[in-house]
Formats: sequence, C-alpha cells, structure tokens
Amino acid sequence: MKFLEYPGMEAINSALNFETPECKVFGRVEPYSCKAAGADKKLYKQLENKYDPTSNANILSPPEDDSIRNIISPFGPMDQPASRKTLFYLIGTLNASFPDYDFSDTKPEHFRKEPSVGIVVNSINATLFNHGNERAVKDLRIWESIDQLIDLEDSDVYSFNPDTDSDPNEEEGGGTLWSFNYFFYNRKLKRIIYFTMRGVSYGVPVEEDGDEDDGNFSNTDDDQDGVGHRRKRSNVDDDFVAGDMDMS
Amino acid sequence: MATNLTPLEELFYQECLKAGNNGLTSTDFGGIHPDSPVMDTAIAMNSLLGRGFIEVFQVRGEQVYKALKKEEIGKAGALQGEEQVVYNTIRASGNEGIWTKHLKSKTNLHEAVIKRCLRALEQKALVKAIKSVKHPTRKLYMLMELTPSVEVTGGPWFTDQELDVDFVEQLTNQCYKYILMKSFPRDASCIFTSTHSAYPSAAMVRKYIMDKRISQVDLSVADITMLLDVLVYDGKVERFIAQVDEDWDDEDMDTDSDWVYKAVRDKKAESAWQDCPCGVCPVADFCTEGGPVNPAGCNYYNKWLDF
Repeated sequence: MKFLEYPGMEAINSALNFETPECKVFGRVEPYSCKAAGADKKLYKQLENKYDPTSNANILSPPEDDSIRNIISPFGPMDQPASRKTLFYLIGTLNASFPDYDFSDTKPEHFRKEPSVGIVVNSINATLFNHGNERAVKDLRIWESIDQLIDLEDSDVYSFNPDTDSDPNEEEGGGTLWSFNYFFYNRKLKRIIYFTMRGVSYGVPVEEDGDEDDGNFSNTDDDQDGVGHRRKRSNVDDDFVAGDMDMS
Repeated sequence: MATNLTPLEELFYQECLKAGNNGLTSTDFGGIHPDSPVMDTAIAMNSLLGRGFIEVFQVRGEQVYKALKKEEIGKAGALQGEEQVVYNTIRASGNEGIWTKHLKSKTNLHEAVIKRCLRALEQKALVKAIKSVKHPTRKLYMLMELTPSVEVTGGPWFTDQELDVDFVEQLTNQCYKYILMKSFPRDASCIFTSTHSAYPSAAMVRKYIMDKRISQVDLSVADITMLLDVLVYDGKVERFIAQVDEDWDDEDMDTDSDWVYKAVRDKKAESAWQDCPCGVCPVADFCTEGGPVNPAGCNYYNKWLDF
C-alpha cells in the first residue's frame, strides 16, 4: 500500500489532534493507493492460501473442512477473489499505518461494512462536535478535501473493530476511552482513505518505554529517591500530558 | 574463540568479567593497571567495545561497562554501529522478546533505520520475529537461538496463538474422572473415613494422564495444577493438605506438593424446613391459632414428637 502525500492533509491532521477537558484526542487521515509493495505480496499470498478454495494449500484438505471456504464476510463470500482483495487492501492499510503491528492474521469478522457514507460522516462529525471541535469540519472543511481525493459518493466504508489485545489504539497502561477506525474505499480509483481517532484519558501517563528490560540496570538505584516517588520510568517526564504531577 | 587481544585488553576483559553484572566504570578501568597511560587504557577500552567484548550502559548518569560472555561475542562482534545496538537491545530482552515500538524508544533510532537493521539481522539469521499470545498483533523480535518463554507462547494450552479449548476441556474432564474414582469407595453410598489419605496429588494426576497418553505434549506438574485449579473453582473438586501433624506450621504452606484433591459430591439441598412438619405441611397457609387447623392440635406434630 503506497502512502499518498497531499499538501492539504497536514492541516487536517493537526486539526484532529487536540485536547478537551476530559481527554486528549488523537486522530489522523491517511490516503493510500492500492499498490502492492514488496511485503504486501507476501501478505497477498498468505491470504489467498487461507481463503481461496482453489489454492494449492486448500485443495488437499477434506471437503468437510468447509468452514473457511463458505465464510460470508463483510466483503462478500470469501471464495470470491474480489472479497479477498478487499480484505487484503484493508489489512495492508492497517499494516502500513501501524508499522509496529502485524495485522496479517486479522479475521474478516473484525471488519464491518457500514451501510452508507453519510451515516459514517455524521457519526464522525458528531464525535468531533461532542468534543468541542467544529473547526475541522466547518472551517477546514475536511470532508471537501477527502471528497476530492476519493469521491465519497462512489466509495464503500468499512470499519475495523479489533479485540482489546489486538487494538493498536489501546495505549499501554490503558486509558483509551474511545476509538474508531474507518476505511473509505473507492474501488475504481483504487484508493483507500484511513480515518482513525481515539480519545485517551489524562489519568494514565502515556508510556514511551516498555519496562520489560530493567534487568540490565540495577534497580536499587531508584529506591533511594524517597518515599513518595514511584519507580522511575524513563521519558515519562517529557510526555506526560496533564498538568502538574511531579514525576522527577 | 581466537583471542587476538593485547595483554592489556585481555586483562581488562577478565576484570570486567569478574565484575559480573555490576560492571566497571571508566575509573575502575583506570585502576586496573595504574601504570599504563590514560591513552592506552582508552584505546584498549574502545577496542573491546568496538569488537563486542564489552558493552556500555547508562546507570544513574554514569557509564558502566559489562563484559559479554564468550558465546555471545562472536555474533555481535561483526556487526557495525546501529545493527549492533539493535542486536544488543534484542539480546537484552532474553526469551521474552521485544516489541519494535520499545526497540525504537530504547535505542532512539529512527524507524527506517530499525527496519533496515532488523532486515539485515534477519538475513544473517541472528534474530527472528515471533508472536505473543497476549498481544497477537504486536511485532516482536528475539534472538534466533532462543525459545520464546511460556508467557509469549501460552504454553501447552495454545496452538498457533489460539487457546485450544477442546484440549483443555478434554484434559480437565479426564483429571476429574480420575479424582472421582479415587475419592469414593466402590459402594457409592459410602464415603471414606476422615483418616483416609489416599487422595490423589497433582503429581499423581499427572502420572495418570501421562500414562494414559491423553496428551501428545508433555505436561508439567504446574500445568496439571492449573487444570486442577479450574476444577476447584468450578466447585467440582476440593483441595486440602493431606497430613497435618502437630508441628505443622503456617510457613510450611508454600509447596504445591502438599495439596491433594477430592471430588465434591453433589450435596443434597437440605434445610431444617424439611425436618420439621411445618415445612412439608400441605395446609401450612391455612393453619392458624384457634382455627380449625391449628398448631396445638396438629397431627403431624403429635406423630413427630411421639418418639
């Protein structure tokens, strides 16, 4: 999946990242072209082997094993190449947008085909307005920009709803209050716009570091820092979002 | 391992090895061979660092050097700069593996750089990608030769990142049947005396399961104990300490091997209302003081109290 650069996107993206009294909101809109790059080809083969009844991997399996072949997914029956293509593009988009994650094993049931573009647009607008952000829609007119890129009338919309432990929008340490993931897919133009937002509560520090590897550092250092202090996590000082807690 | 180290480097390396996990600071190095000039010390240290014999960490703002064991040296030694940093960070994560996001923050390297290094390391067969059952979508890397820990793979209960529910259920049932068999005598209406102590322990259950070859994978006592815990929480089995002698202390309680398991037989729902006539009386609602049916003249009570 090839990420497409457009000059107007930066302004839109910065308008989608803002703070409200209850939470900090992160959002981004990313246009992709449905071109298979190197790693994508491997993903494509993997999916074909999994879902295509005529592929070599599946030809030899017994006929009772129909559970995979007859899946009616949100993209249509999975034994249709067009359905598999759609799944491939969506997974490819997720992989491209979240480089630290691998969504190759995501099942079709985690996606949903939304009934209409209009409903999704309204839902996103409602979320923005409820969080006090009218600027993105009314002043910056994000939907006009998006429409220029992808011709919304002619597009399908899919949403992605992962389990909590597979969710890239879940912050480490919890704190994600809400999130959504929408894909605007225009088959003719072979383009996808990935629109994601999440709201994170202030109560939990946004951790930059995993604590897995404290083995190499002598942990006794931090105990001497005094009674009231928690064990120090590097970098939290800089990235801590809300007000005045003293972490040093 | 070919030691083409100078005598000074060799000395430093040995001293550093001796220092173990605490490592040495640069001042310590200076103190090892106080006669040699500072320049030589610096050169030796740099050479050891560059060839991967020692590595440097930041502890409380100071730089500390730790020696790498012989087996670990050969591999990282040939790597340059960023690849070495990435490799070392991955190595430090042991058999838990490290997520690329954490790799980024620990090394402070740019994403593209890390991607390149990972690809190179994978090609050299030094690291491999693994998946964790706790976070199935995260990209984890670990050293090629290590086996992922149980936390990451989920142990015998997971096949291909998915919980094998059938397997677990089947095994749990077999455990329960065995315990049931051992918990009550042949004659189903009796129970064992309170001094009977031949109830199965986790180890005995494990032996039974292994002998019957129900599971294709090897299960440890800890794994079996997990299944037995499920039975306990489901209320099917109870566990207790088999033999309690006089000098048994609360501190003795940590060994799992003291627990034995006994199947719970369905307790009949008994209550005192069944014993007393009023509980089963067909006209209890109608019965009242001074009425046609009353407690004083109750026939059922007369019968009941007539021992």
